[in-house]
Amino acid sequence: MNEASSKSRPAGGQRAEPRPPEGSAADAREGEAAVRPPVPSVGNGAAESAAGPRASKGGEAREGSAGGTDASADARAGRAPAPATEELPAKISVQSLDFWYGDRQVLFGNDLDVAERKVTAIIGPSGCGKSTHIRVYNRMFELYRDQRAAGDILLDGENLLDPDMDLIDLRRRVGMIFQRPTPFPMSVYENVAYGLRLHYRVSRKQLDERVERTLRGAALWDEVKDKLDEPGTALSGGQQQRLCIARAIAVEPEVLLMDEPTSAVDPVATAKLEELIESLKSEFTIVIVTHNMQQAARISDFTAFFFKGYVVEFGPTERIFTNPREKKTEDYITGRFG
Amino acid sequence: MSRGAADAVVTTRGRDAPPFPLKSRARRRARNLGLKVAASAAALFALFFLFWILAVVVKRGIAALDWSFFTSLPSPPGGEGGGLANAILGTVAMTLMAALIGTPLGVLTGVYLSEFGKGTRFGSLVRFTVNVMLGIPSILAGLFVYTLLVVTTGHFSGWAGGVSLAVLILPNVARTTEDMLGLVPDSLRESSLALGAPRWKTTVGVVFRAARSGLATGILLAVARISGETAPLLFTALNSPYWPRNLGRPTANLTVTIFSYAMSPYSDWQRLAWGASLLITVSVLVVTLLTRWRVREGEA
Repeated sequence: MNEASSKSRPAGGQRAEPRPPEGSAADAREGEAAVRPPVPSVGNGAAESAAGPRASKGGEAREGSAGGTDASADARAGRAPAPATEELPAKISVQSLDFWYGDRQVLFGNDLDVAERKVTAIIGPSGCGKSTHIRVYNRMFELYRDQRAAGDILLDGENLLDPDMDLIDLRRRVGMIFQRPTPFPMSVYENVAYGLRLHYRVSRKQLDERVERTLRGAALWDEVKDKLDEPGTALSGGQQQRLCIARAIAVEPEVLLMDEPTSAVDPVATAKLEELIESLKSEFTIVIVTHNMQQAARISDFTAFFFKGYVVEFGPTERIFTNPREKKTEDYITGRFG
Repeated sequence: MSRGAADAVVTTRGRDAPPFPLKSRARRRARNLGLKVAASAAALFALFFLFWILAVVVKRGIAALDWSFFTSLPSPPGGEGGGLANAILGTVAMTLMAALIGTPLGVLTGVYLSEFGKGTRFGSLVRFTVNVMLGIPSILAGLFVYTLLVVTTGHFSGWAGGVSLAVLILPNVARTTEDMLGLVPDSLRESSLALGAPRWKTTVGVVFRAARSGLATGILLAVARISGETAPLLFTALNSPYWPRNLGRPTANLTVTIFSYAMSPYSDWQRLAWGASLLITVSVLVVTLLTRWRVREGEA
């Protein structure tokens, strides 16, 4: 186990300035200590330092001093060290993400590295900011006037919160599945073709092939091949959700965000969806928000535990579930609250 | 906790001893009955007049409806026979014109209110304006267009009639559109946007589709409503005994015809007025029933 030394922030290391303003931000957060739950803290920071010179990922040799500042800033801010994605390259690297609904701050300095082609689960009690967190990844929150995010989220090293980021391109790359199935009011076929037509010039024949392949990929083809012309809303709940997944993967995204995708379907459909998620992992980077801890344990490679807007603990799923470092995580996992 | 307390009540006092004296059952029943009777009576009262009006209109109107009613011009005062073909055409033409002008504007206004102007100052202003327009008496719409198009051109015209009806249909359609689009869940919009669809594509391709049945219903009902308007036409299209060949001239229409023929001393004209009343009533009724039926089909 070398989570402690596995800080992987490829792009973070490339920053020109060694994050000097961190101190002030950290101080600002200190003011909120009262509302903050007992979060990871000096313990982790210390462990990290004790691990000695850190092996930076991506061949980026960090300056010792810069690293040191970083670590102490982390410790002071009481943030969980983001890493834990072992040797894997981070597809998405969230760095000190804050989020507000109007004047109310709901996410506090979230750090998280999402490993490429792995399933990262986000667990935590209701209202702790899980959905809010992933809705920043595709900037869905911007639909609503009073919602605001601050911080950096690097998608392959590029800050997706940058106002210059093309939203349509971002959303083609980062797809999303919602809590309730949301088939469009059109046929099964058209549902899948919708996104394809949006982004690609395709002939009818290519479209037909693509729709079939996508539906097969979403493990739905056998069930709907005879009703491609029927409305998508006529399918069962589980089928509708798989249709939504098909619709999302049809545009060839790199990342799939899933916001409690199985909460509105029955157990059999849930099992099918989980199987599907497992199989999608080879092609897509998946971030799944779930209320169901067994589900997180079953399907995810990494797990982040959220509490009151903080990333309390983040690491390989197996470790989080068998040997959590934080008392809060342990309490939640063992069902003592939540 | 609460269960414990309930248990305590049961065990210490038993089920037969309520904590307080019970309210009188007889009085509750009497009150219930009283309200039921009052509500039913009010409904019957309203229905009675509705059916009375319908019965009279049908009885007197049906006598007027013959082939020539739909095919020929009105006879000269005191003459026999004749029909209201010109008025039927004129009403259809002006209603269509109003629908063609007012519906696109109204739908776009509704789209703005529901999809883009939500929570903005300008959006609230537009919504307020639409609500005020909805409450404006139709005769004011007529007067407005009178000063705008009749005074300036120097004569009454079918165009002015169509525009005055458009002024009336616009806020109706805008409101219906906003309401219907508002019923479409945000999750559907988000799903489309999350696929990388631009806003307009989401609105046209997904939100409109989801709301199409309600939209069609609302628009048809709005059209049916303006087809029975009289006051705005009185100041704009006026009326005419001739075929509506040129909408730049005063144009015949059913409602103003009813107004003037019903007041006339000639029994034949009065008969035509009854016929026109029946025609309008039945048309509006049919459109309403059709849309209701459509809605029910859509739900199924």
